[in-house]
Amino acid sequence: MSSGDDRPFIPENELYQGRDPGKLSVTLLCGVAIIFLITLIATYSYEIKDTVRPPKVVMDFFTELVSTDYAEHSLEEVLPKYLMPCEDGLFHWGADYPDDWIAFRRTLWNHGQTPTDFEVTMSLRNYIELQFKDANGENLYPKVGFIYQLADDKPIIQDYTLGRLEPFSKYNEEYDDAWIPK
Amino acid sequence: MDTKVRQRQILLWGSLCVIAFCCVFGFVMQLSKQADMDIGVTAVRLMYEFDDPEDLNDRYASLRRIVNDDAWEVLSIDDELRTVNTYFKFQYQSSSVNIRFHRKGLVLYSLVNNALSPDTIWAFEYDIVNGKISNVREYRWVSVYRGDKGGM
Repeated sequence: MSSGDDRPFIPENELYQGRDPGKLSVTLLCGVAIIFLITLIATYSYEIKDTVRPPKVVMDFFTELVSTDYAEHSLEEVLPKYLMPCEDGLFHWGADYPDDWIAFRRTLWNHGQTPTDFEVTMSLRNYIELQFKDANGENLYPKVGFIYQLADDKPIIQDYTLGRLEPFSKYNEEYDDAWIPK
Repeated sequence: MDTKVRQRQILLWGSLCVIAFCCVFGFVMQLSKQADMDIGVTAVRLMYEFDDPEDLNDRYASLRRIVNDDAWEVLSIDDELRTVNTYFKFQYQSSSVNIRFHRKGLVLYSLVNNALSPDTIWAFEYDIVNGKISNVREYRWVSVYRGDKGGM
């Protein structure tokens, strides 16, 4: 009389011996291939990480700045949108104007220049170099360097250093005798 | 030896070889990246870190080895204009370099020299061609502003 289970009895220690060893090998090889690819991609990413696409928040910030047309009220609207305020939630006020307002106004509208556009001439991790242009598309020298640190939790510039880049040797194409360090 | 066992052994050793290759490849790439970044810092130190201006000849001999011909043409201290514009500000006094920020292609530094403000930021920009510095640009940062957190 049948017990109802016709499957042959296989001892537990022999249960997996019938499995095709080829499958194990293929699985192992796939695993190694995946590790290889991940390593390759990670290495390549690390290699090019210094040269980066400028963050959107930084590009938007300067795009809006040059469209303010030097209007005081416009700057006051743009800066709080992109710059991290002080811990008390307010901009840091100098004698008459916020320090940030003075920084960007004096840097971009330098010596009567009126930038209407800009070109990114260098973009590295936490650094961007900008060549501003006037309404005729002419370069407004000197260029501007902007070191930035973005906030971790929101698209805002947490900290920055801003300055104009004056070449001091004649081999720089934008060199001007007026910029010889005194 | 059983064929399947041999296949397994070949696959195992093959896998180990691939993993070892990945590790070596990653390590070499990391070294290469570090070297590209360090070459800019090295160049800045060779040019602007000296006890006496007389040291510059020896230091420029070392610099020559890490820059290509085009870069050498503009950096060489044989060029009087370059020397005047670059070294006059040191007032013949010793100088050392304080690296403030550096990336591959950019070194921002200040100079420790009695004749110069340690707050002034100087920039050395370059490209790497065949492992050597090329297309050099040098700037002085002026009208520097820092954010409320202190900036760089």
